Amino acid sequence: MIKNWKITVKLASPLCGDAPQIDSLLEYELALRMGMKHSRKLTRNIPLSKIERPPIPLARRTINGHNVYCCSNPILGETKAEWSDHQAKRFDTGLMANILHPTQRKKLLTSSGPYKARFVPLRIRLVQKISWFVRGDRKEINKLLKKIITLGHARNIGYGVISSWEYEEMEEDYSIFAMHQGKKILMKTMEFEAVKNYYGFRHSYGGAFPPYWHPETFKEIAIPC
Amino acid sequence: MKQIGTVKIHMLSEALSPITHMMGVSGNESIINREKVFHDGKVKDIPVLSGNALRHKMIRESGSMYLVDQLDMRGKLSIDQANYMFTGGSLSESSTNDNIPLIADMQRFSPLFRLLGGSLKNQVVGGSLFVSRGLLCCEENQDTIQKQIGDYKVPEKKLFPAQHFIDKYQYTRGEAGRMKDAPEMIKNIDDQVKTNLMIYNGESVISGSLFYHNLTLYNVSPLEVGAALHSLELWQNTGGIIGGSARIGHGKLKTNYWIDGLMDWFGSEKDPGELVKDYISHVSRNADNFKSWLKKAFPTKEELLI
Repeated sequence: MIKNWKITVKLASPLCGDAPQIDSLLEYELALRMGMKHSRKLTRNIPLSKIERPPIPLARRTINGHNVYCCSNPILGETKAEWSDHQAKRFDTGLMANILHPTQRKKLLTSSGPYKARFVPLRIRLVQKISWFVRGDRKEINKLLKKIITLGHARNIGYGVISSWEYEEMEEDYSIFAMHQGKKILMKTMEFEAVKNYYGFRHSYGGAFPPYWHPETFKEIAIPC
Repeated sequence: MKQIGTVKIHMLSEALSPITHMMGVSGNESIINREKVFHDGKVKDIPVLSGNALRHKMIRESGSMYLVDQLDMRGKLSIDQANYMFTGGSLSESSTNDNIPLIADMQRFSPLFRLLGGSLKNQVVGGSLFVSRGLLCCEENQDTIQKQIGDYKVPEKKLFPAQHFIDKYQYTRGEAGRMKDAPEMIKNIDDQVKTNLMIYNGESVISGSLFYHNLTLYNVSPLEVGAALHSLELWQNTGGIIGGSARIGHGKLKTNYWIDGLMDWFGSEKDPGELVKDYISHVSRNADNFKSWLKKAFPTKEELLI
């Protein structure tokens, strides 16, 4: 049944990078299950018109002529601490010397190029929970979300581990905007021209709808702040 | 091949020697790797083993080294092949096409690299292995460990604070010119030259400390679980080394593990030993296939000219 929900994820390890949009999470997860081509190998070169979008269990609304999912941007709980970690990678030439074929034992440039030794900084935040406001079918949403075990970047090395998903029914729909002192405060990233009567956002350029990373979704956007 | 689904391998590792997994230096003193933990209304810096180091040492290095020896590839690999196997490879060519048959062959012939993923020359292939960080079993981490450990219960008795598990070490670096036999061995010793003799020290996590960590294998087949367990076994057999100063005996971990999710679709539980045997036999059966795949994915310049 379609209702207003506040979805909260509790994290058991710090978050690396930014939290994801919930519509993209749901699209990815559903696409995987439906065996859709783009769940694995969708590239920037495939035109958006050729991408089949999975039917995620979120309500849609038309705002100033633009169709949008009823889901807010991620809202991070209090950041208790923030620091930078580093991810290291090095071609261990000492170990490799005898493993390589004699003709391959040559001087190797490790300051740039394919064998560059890396020490990549990662932005880490100690956040205990992240929330999204959505309007949708809780049962179907939960079926998709409960299989997701990690969020954010560097998930393969222990960041963003999820301990639980929680749902709280809301009376009001805060998925697109929230009323504050008679003004509409924007709650989700939308195309800039669609938010003329809204407040509480910054003007930027980027993905306006899922798949957010696809260049054809890049437009002038309004990001809640 | 029957899918198992998602498998979680929980591990409790005991430090058999001081653990010196570092994050940097302050003067001559090495500082142990720490992360911030919110405990009792305060943010505290607690020692941690990075997931990146655990993933490399536990699975990638030990698993790849096994393949090199088992498939008789020592002294025969190209730099790109070794770079892929031991560091995950790097993109060096641009491409607008994904070579799906090449990915499918890799997934068929090598459960280890299906698990780890990696970068071919012109395409990145995702893996299915999520490695946690190594959490020191201390008062500050007790709640977090309980959240990650699933249905198992951490003893209710309060653990000691992290500071109890941190100690310091100190060594001296020798100087050839100061050795007892130096006058006989070294020509023209100049007493006026500044010595390189140096005291260096740092922090360590003491022997006997415990770390909790886990591996989550997401949507995997039995062969991938076998590959992970086999690599773990090899890592343990070579001392379970993590962190620096292994040359002087630091960084030995003794790991015990237990597994959640080893059920197949029919509800029967898989035996970990059998999974490892299946993986070993898969490696032997597909030795030539894997070697030809490596050549196809990372051809040398000479091979490209043929």
